[in-house]
Amino acid sequence: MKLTIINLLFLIFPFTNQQESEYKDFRHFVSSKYFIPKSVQSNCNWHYAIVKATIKDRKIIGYKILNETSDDIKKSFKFLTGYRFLNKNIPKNQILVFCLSIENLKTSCDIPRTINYTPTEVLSKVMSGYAHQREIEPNSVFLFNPIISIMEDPRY
Amino acid sequence: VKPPVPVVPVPDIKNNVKDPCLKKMVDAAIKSDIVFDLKQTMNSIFNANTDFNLEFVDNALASNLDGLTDAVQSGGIPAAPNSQRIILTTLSLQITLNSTTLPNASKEYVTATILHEVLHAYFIESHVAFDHQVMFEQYIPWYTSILKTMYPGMDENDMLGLAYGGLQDAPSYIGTLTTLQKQSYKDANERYKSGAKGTPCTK
Repeated sequence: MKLTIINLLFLIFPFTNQQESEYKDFRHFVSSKYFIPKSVQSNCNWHYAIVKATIKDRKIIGYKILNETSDDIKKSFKFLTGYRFLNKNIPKNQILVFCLSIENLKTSCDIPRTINYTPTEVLSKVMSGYAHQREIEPNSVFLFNPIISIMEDPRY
Repeated sequence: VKPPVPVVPVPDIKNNVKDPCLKKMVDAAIKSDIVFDLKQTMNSIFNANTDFNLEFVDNALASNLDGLTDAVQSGGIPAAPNSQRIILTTLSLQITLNSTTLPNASKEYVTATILHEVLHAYFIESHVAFDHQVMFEQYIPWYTSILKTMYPGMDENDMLGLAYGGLQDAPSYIGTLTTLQKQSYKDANERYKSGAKGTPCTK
């Protein structure tokens, strides 16, 4: 539910500065290389990260997590640094902002789900993060469709 | 001008099982390319697509568990604005076989276990929930047909027993099988699991 609402609003959000489809390879790269940190795997609460990647000469030279989150989640994006965009339609230098949502389908964890965010809360967290970044660096490129990393119980 | 070097696809089904007997059984399963339905096989899903990977390992599990299937990495994107479904773009699954109990089991039992876990892997990839109920409703003939091909002399009731193995929590198992059937299938599983019946797993 929460993901669908985020997705819907991202699609009708009134500004766009770059086609999302140009970033297909990058999205694929993130979804295949992202590994959920161990500390998060054992925590059933919802986690997310709004990631700001700095791109110079089509290469990611650094990143920052814009929302408050654990150090483990912050470190879990280290793999981004060094990624090279091969798509020539993408500007050589830019700030790229995307959201990764950790979809936790586990039924039990060491740390049980203690916070049940409402759809509005989820939406506000992500959208206000984007809005804040746009105010600071208006030329940032935003990917509105979240990248989703999924956790679920083993099947026996 | 040198001809282009053909790109050799990297197989994404890995057999990292250590026990020699279980390893051989897993190799045989990969080689036979288990068919799930008319269009999809184990190799077509996990070997042909570099984004979907499957690894077999063996480790000590609780004695009542023969195996488990776990997604070690799973990523996706929203399917469509009006859809709640997530499209999986990457998936790395790991099937763990019980290294304590299975090496003593018969080949028939190990095969049934591998089939059971591979079905879980297929269901994760296909977004199927209520695995054991679906196995009960749709895959019993699938199990028995594979077992019949591999072990032509095997007793039909035993084949059914192994096919129903592990499905005891499915509502249909609880609700539709008679006490006699349940007992008979339980006995078959115990005999094949202990190695008292069936083909010994030769190393």
